[in-house]
Amino acid sequence: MNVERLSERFHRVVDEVSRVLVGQRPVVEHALYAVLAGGHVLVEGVPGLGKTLLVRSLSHVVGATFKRIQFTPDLMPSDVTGGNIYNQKEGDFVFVPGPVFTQLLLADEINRAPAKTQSALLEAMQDRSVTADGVTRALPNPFLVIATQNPIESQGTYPLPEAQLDRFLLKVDVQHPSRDVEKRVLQNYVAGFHPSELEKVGLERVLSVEELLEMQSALTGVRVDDAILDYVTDIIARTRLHRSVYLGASPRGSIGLLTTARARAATDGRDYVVPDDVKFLAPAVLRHRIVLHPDAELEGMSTDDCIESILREATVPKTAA
Amino acid sequence: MRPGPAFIVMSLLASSAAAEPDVKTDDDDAVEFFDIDGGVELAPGAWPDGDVGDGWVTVSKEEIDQTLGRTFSAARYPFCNDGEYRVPRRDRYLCDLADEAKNRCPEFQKTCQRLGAAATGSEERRRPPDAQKPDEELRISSSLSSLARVIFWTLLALGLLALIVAIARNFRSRERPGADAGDEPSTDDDGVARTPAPPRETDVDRLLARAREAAGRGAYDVAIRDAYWAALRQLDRSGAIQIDPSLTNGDYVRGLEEHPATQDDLRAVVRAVERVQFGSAPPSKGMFDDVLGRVVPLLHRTSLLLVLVVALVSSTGCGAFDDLGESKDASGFSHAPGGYAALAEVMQAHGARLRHRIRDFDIIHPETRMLIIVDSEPSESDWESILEWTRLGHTLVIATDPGPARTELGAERAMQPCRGELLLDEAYRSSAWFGPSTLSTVPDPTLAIDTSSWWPLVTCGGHPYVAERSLGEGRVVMFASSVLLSNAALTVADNAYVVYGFLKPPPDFGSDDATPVELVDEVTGSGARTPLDSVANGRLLPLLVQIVLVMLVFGLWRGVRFGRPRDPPTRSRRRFEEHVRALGAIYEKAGASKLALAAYGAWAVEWLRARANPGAEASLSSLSEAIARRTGRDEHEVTRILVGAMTARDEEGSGESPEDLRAFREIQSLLAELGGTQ
Repeated sequence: MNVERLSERFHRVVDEVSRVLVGQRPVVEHALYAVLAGGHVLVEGVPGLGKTLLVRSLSHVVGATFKRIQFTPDLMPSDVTGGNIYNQKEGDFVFVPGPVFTQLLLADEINRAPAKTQSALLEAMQDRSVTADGVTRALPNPFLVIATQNPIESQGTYPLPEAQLDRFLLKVDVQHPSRDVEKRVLQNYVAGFHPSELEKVGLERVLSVEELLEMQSALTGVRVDDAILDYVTDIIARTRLHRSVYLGASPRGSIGLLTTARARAATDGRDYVVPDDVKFLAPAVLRHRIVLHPDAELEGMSTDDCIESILREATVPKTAA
Repeated sequence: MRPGPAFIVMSLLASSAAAEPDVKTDDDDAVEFFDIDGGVELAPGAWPDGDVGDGWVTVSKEEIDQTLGRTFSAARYPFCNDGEYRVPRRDRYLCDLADEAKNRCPEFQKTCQRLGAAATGSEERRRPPDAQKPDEELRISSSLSSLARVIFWTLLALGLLALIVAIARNFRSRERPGADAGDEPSTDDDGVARTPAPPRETDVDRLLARAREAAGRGAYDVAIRDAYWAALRQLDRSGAIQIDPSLTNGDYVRGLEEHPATQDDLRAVVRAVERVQFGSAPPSKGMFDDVLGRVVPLLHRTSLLLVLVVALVSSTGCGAFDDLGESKDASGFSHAPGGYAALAEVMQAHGARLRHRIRDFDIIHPETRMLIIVDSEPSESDWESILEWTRLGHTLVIATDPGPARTELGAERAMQPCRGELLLDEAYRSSAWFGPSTLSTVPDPTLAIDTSSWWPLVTCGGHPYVAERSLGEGRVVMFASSVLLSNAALTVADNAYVVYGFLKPPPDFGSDDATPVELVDEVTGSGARTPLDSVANGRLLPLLVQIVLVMLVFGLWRGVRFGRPRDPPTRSRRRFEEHVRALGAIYEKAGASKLALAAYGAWAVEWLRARANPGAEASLSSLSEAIARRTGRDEHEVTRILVGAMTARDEEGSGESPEDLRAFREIQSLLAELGGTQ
């Protein structure tokens, strides 16, 4: 698939999802960048902003199988991965796949489950396989986890460990809609829209799984100039040396930044990455991979502020300045 | 030709026996204008007859009085209504009218009395305005301006010296590359090396020329890049974007949201440039031509924008005046005793529109019906224009010395003084219009007139004070001075009524379209007709020369930085220690020493555990034993300190106590004995 066709498909998907998820086009685009790059997305936002609707509509539009896990404190790892159950009729243990065996998995409120259960997703997210009782089973292809978490509640939540956070390709912040957008949401509601009845609004399937895989493989043809590699390296190095950062981004972060930059380039109809792709995606790729110094946090600095500062200090290659 | 009141009176007097005048006599106090038949004999002079329109136009004395009452009761006339008002020095001679003015202007007397008995009857008050000596304030400000001038020139000299030194140092540092510490490769706070960037070409024309030159030798990648940079530099210069090393091409394009056309062009250029820089497309002549084809109009567009902005800004400079340089209303008249605001208001209330004349007399608007010249000395050529205009059938009121026009007019100011007792001419006193009107003024000069062409309207001690004559199709009314037209003079006697009668032109004066009357004073002619005049009037030539010189220097050195660009100082952040101190201050303010002790104690126990007894069991007794062993202290003593540290949170009471401080110090000494926390 060439980049022009990829770009056309991408925009069709975004347009279709944006019909039901009003006013959140950047969020949809970011989620799709991650899908194309074969990564997982952590969506952070207060309840009621359409995070679940995003995943449901996305799975519907790309024609992928979809399952949802509502993370709760008593959720067990086997509730995620599945496990062997004794079959009395056959007199043998039979593996019952958990909800993780799907193409698109919504891990709703992932930080409500304890670390043990969260870790059950680690192998699935990284290796795209599940091991139970010594047997490793591959997950469907494509496999994408879209996890959501609420940033404000701390009671009864378990912050995601850094190792798991690093496995998310992008972290997308969902903001409150503007007044106009909110009015459009209400208009849709008055017109009879319901999030659980996507078929009723005529949401079309504009992509097949095969086409999605084609799009993913097309990204390998996107050219990355040496200057772009320098730029990515420079940004990542600065995350490790910045005065406000306690823990900088890992090499997985730099790979993630490059991969998503490729995805953005292709969706823009280009077969080459430009610095703008890197700069545009840096906040989403890095915000969950950076740990700030306590004194920086005391001063009220956020990771986004820190990334902005890093991007201001990094020199764009082949600039006119 | 529309005759004035004097003309009408003369006509009536001259023809009283021969002709039956069509005069309305039932209202003795009315200033009346009426249609007269041609053929009336006029004396003196050849008064032309003509149509004055149909019907009567009358303004009675009562109407004028009502207008004056309304006018002078307004707060905008502070000399009439504010006892605290301070009469300007140049108007103090008008205080001689204060006693008479008390009916219409009750506070004028008070404000004049407040000036002090010393001023009353003093030479200063008696002096006519033309002979005023320079004000004391002016002398003070003049001496101050000398001091200010010295300071100004000193500062200017110092500034110039500093500029020369700075330029010289800059040239010296250019000759010795690397001499400046800034030339060394620097390392920023983060430890990431910053290689000093080589100087970049910033001049648009040179970048464009460089692009063409590169294209000429086949280096299309360089050519495309330079053409793009020229576009960016031009946009930066016009303020549409701001070039910065951290901004991407996409940032520049997004920054042009307010200029959609330019944004589209730049987007297309960026696409082509990036295809070469980051893509695999080989640069070609066609690609360069395409980029250049988009860049050149873009440069022209932004230049045009600049020109438009400059033109708009410069066109607002004369926004206060219309195309003839005349103010649009009477708002500019002074409300001081010596001002003419009251005259303007009285005339405005009865059909005239008085406005300031700013422009000189090269063009007098055809719509203008009357010129009133006060406190002004027009040049000879100006007088020629004025008299030419008057001859065409307009009215000229002169309340100043006619200067070069005195011969042609046959009138001038006389040396015979007027002591202030004015007498309306006999013909007027007995007329139906003015009747027994009284006039009053301050001591003033009088007029010397050619009686063959002038008719005295008002006399003072037998000498003419106000006179009228015809001039071509027009008429001229001349006052010995402008005092009778001033605000203060209009408050007394029947001055306003009589002055209005003298000035009042023919019947259309009271029509719906108010008659335009222009007041000529010292402001007239001060406005510049061209920017060059403005520069000359404002004595801005030295400043402009300096600006041109600076621009010349910039032009010669365009594209080259005058100073070494330096990074802005990095924002220093408070140290962690300062945060801790701030936190301590909050604890102190809240009297929460126990809470602080508990936090400190918990942290200290953990630290001691890691330092003195790593890996051992977590009990306090084993920790105490280990610390006692290492420090040589008594184990019970150590245990007491540790228990105190651990249980501080559970102790009752929130107030501060010396015990808490002692516990702090004991823990601190324990930490210090084990090597300290630094």
